[in-house]
Amino acid sequence: MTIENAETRLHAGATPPAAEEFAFDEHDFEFAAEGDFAALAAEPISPVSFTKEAMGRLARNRGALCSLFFIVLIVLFALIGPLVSGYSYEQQLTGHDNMAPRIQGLEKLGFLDGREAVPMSTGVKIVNKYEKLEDGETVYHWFGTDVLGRDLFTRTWEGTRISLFIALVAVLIDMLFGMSYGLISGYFGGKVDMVMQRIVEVLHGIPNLIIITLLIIVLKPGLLSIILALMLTGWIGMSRVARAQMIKLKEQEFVLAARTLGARPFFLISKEVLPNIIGQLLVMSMFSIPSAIFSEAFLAFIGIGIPVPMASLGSIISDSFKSLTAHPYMMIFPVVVLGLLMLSFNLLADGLRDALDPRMKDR
Amino acid sequence: MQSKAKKALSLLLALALFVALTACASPSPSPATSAPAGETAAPTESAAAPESPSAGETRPNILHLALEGEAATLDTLKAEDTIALNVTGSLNVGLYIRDADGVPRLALAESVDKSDDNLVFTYHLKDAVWSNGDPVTAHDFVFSWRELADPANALQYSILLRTTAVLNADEVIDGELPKEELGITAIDDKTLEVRFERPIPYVETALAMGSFFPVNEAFYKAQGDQYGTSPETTLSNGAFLLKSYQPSATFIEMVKNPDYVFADRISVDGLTYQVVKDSQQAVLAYENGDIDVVVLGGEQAELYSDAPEFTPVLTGALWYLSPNVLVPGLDNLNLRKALALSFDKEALVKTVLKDGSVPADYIVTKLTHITADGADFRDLTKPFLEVNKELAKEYWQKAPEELGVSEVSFTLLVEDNEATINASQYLQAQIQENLPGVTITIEQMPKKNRVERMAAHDYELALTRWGPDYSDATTFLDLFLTGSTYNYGSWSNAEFDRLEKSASDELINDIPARLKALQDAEQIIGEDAAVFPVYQKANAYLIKPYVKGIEFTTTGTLISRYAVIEQ
Amino acid sequence: MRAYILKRAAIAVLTLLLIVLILFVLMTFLPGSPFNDERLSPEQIATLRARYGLDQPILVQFWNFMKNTFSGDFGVSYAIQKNVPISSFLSSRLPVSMRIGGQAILLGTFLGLILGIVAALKHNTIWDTLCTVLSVVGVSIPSYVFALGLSYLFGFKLKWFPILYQDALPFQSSVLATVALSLFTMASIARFTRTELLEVLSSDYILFAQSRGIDGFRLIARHALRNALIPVVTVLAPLVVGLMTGSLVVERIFSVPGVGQLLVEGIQANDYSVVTALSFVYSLLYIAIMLVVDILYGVIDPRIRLAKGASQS
Repeated sequence: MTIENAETRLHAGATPPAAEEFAFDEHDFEFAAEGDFAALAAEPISPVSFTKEAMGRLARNRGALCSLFFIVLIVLFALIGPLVSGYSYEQQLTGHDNMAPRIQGLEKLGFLDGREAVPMSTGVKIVNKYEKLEDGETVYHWFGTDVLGRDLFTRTWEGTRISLFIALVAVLIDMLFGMSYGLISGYFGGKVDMVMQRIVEVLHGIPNLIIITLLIIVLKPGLLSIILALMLTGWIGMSRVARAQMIKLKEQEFVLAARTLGARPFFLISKEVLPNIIGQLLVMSMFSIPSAIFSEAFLAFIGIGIPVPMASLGSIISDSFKSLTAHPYMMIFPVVVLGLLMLSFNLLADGLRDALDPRMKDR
Repeated sequence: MQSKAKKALSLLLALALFVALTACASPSPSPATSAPAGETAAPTESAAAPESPSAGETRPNILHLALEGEAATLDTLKAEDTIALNVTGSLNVGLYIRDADGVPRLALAESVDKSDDNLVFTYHLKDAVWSNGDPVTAHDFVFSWRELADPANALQYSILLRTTAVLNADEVIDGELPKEELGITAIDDKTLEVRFERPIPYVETALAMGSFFPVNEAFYKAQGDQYGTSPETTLSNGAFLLKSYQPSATFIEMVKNPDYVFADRISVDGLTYQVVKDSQQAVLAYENGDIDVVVLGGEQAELYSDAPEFTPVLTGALWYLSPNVLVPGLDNLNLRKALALSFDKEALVKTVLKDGSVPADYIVTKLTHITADGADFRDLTKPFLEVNKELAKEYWQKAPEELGVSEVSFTLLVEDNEATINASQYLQAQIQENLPGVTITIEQMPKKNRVERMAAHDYELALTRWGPDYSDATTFLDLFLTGSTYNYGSWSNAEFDRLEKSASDELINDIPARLKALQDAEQIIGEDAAVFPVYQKANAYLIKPYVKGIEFTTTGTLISRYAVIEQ
Repeated sequence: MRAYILKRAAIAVLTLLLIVLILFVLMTFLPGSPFNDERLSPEQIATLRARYGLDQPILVQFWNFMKNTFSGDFGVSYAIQKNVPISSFLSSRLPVSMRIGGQAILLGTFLGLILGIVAALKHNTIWDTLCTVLSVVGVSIPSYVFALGLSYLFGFKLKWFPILYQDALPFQSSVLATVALSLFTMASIARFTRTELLEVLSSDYILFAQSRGIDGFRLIARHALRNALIPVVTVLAPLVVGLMTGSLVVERIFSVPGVGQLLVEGIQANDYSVVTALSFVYSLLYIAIMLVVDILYGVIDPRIRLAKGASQS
């Protein structure tokens, strides 16, 4: 609403990108929008226009758009992938173990046709396990199968689903809790802030790897305990940003005005301050999602990830890691999905930040 | 302002880079892109190229071994796991030594006089010395055995004193008698007398175990907590001497002990142990010539299955599913039988384990119990609980009537290592597929937690392992005695108890009758489906062609002392 | 200033105490005990628990631990090194981990700075995207995959470096581990430098400097970089955490005799004393670095002592 946004907007709109030129022209000191300034000042400035503008900026950012497209694509695959493959993620097909990828159509081009070069100690052996199956002609495993004969396409997307779910839930809770914590701490200040900040500092001092590992073992590995462990310390960053913004904003005129008019703290926090910082928190959470996915993958590696036979991207990667020298294909697809997901979220977050922070514009 | 095309290009490039990096990271390129190429394969090259760079020069006469983890201790009394036993076994020797043929041979003893009733053994010791020059005396044995029995030390392998029926072992371990009452005395420095409560046929193989090795009291006590933490604080009398070590070292160096009682049989000048926890790295290190002998994990075993240096070695360890019969449902015989018959063990070892493990339709594993005339207990005794999915279904159809339910679900405890997790997922799928209505949930945890849960009888099903402590069927069958500490499943059968006890009691000297009793006892376990045997574990080794003379005990432990490095 | 430092130090000590207390509480809830080997009888387990004081109330154990720890005694390991004083193997393992960690920080910071500076100076060009992608890829490929890839390429194929760590060749054999470990540092530093430098470049004093005709290399090096790098100091502490996580994986792959894997092994074996000792050391290290960073930052930038929220990336 906001005076602050209006200011930035006016500022951003009116100042030329003065990087190279440092000599002043005489008309520099005139209003840029000469003549209609009164009309411009009268024009109501709503938060929508800022959001719109930010969205516009985002839409102009190719990298961010592309990332958004990939995220949507991956989410779509995660949703429908396990349904269309014709296999279930825990189904072990007898005789279908360690089969290389084979995709309809592509196989005719001699690519992803189920052949695999197995680096036997006595020499590379080209095998096509599909030919050994009785009805091998009609069998297709798009990403191949694992050592137990489970379809990796199904498992990869099922795993993506679980990884995304863990990350989203953890980050959502982080955001809600961290935000409230930071806002309350920043708004009330004084003793409340002191106590709350000391708590944060102490928590921040705990190496979370140790606590996460211990906590998961205590709670028994599972979806819930992993989410719990991940959000244990994730909210701290969020709360810091919220608090810093709160401190900055609470002395601003529009907040003071609302307060003078008798607004209660809850109203002030939720209606006056929150809309101004939600963007930044969104950017923060965008950055947190990939790191949550990654933390989960790490837990899988040390053996306290998602319980078998369930799969997450991390657990598939750490399982197929053990067959990396023998059957590299098992790992390539989940690693590509994981990498793409992390890259996309990071680029999108970058784009979003740039979009929300007009200072970065056009530089 | 960037042109749209340029930005799009940059993103495309970025993605390409990402994919390229991913591809780099995986050791061999994807099959799709490299199928026809011949140069890709990792192991091929080094297998084809004769030897490592040093081929022209003389090869150091040192054997390089790998360990899967750090040795937990170098103290022979405390050594309990295979890794620690492996390392301490290279450093020390006891009254007997067991070679590849499984026959216990006198080592530190020159001769032994046995009383007619086989209850008193008198050993005449050789003139062996410790690495600090002290002679190895009968007092060293007395000290170590008493330490082993001392309840204050709470040593796991004090159980060996019980199974070998050393006089007063039970009472001393339980704290009812002072440790001086244990049936071992030093007549003089070179004469050792051991008394037993009853004759045990396999006693000599058991006495070859590390827990019975002598310990130099003065040195041991002087070092205290620091014993076994460095070459200076460790004493040895075995084939090798410690050259470099620190606690939890990942690299251990040993040199040949010139004063070893069988020094003339040791060909190598030294021995190194390198801890390698990642099995793929172990194979790369083997290919590079850093390690001479390596155990293959999972998929590597497949890659090397047709290599000449591929050596699968059967161990004595049995992996089985243990049902807790106190759990409602698992007390039902038909359900237990249905579960026991419902999974294909052959496919499990062929497609999941691939390391040479064999399906187990028995409790007493192959190679464990060899009779006096050289026959394997296993070959003399008929198998049971062989997979039969049809029969399993029949049993499963009877079970619901008796139980009053048509669906049951059980939790399966599994320890978190690759092979067992894969095996358990395979078993889960097989059972659920062949017995519709049965649901198995896997709960994985560190091994220690699994053991503890089982010991507390706090489980339903567990995939568990038992390795033989000595060469006799009772090492397995004693587990199932009513009231045995290790009878985690609480299964109980009076006839089994009677037969099993008679084998260690009145039939102890009647070899044919004893064998019959043990065979019958084992069959009862099978008929009652007290446990569901799954497989007998094998280890797939790679041994460099220039390393000869690596042997394995009948229970699968590697014997490195007779290794020869060929030039 | 002294009051500020004292306040920070007091918080650090409090944090450390609290961490150890939390660990103690968590560990009492850990399933199992260090003494649950198959062949131990219940009486023997009770004896062992009594010997190591595990049968005492948690607060007594906590008190004993703190008392011993501050006199430099971490007690003995229960399971992973039977009855061996923890200090005797920490003393050989900690320096190895710290050295490789230090190497990784140096390498990662160097590469990260280059990437970050290039990305910021060439903002919104292909170079920027490339650097961003490189730094994201750095953290999106699991480090164990990267580590094995390095080992395969440089250890096995090219034979430039040993595959496994060797005490005799402490530097050469730690190169691969260092590179694998530096990935995370590189990525973090690169991203942070880029953001900070961009912000500085758009700030008024740079505009002023430009308007005074300062240009090119001098502008970047003297004015922009110096100010951009100050906040980079703040990511040091989180990086130590990253190293901890990374070292766990990397040390396992390259058989480095460090402390990285000891922690997880200790947790899995319920070796409480090893876990607490290691956590204590880690926390101490972490808190000390945070303390130094805080104080340094307070010295460099007096505004930080006022209630100013840390700016996050």
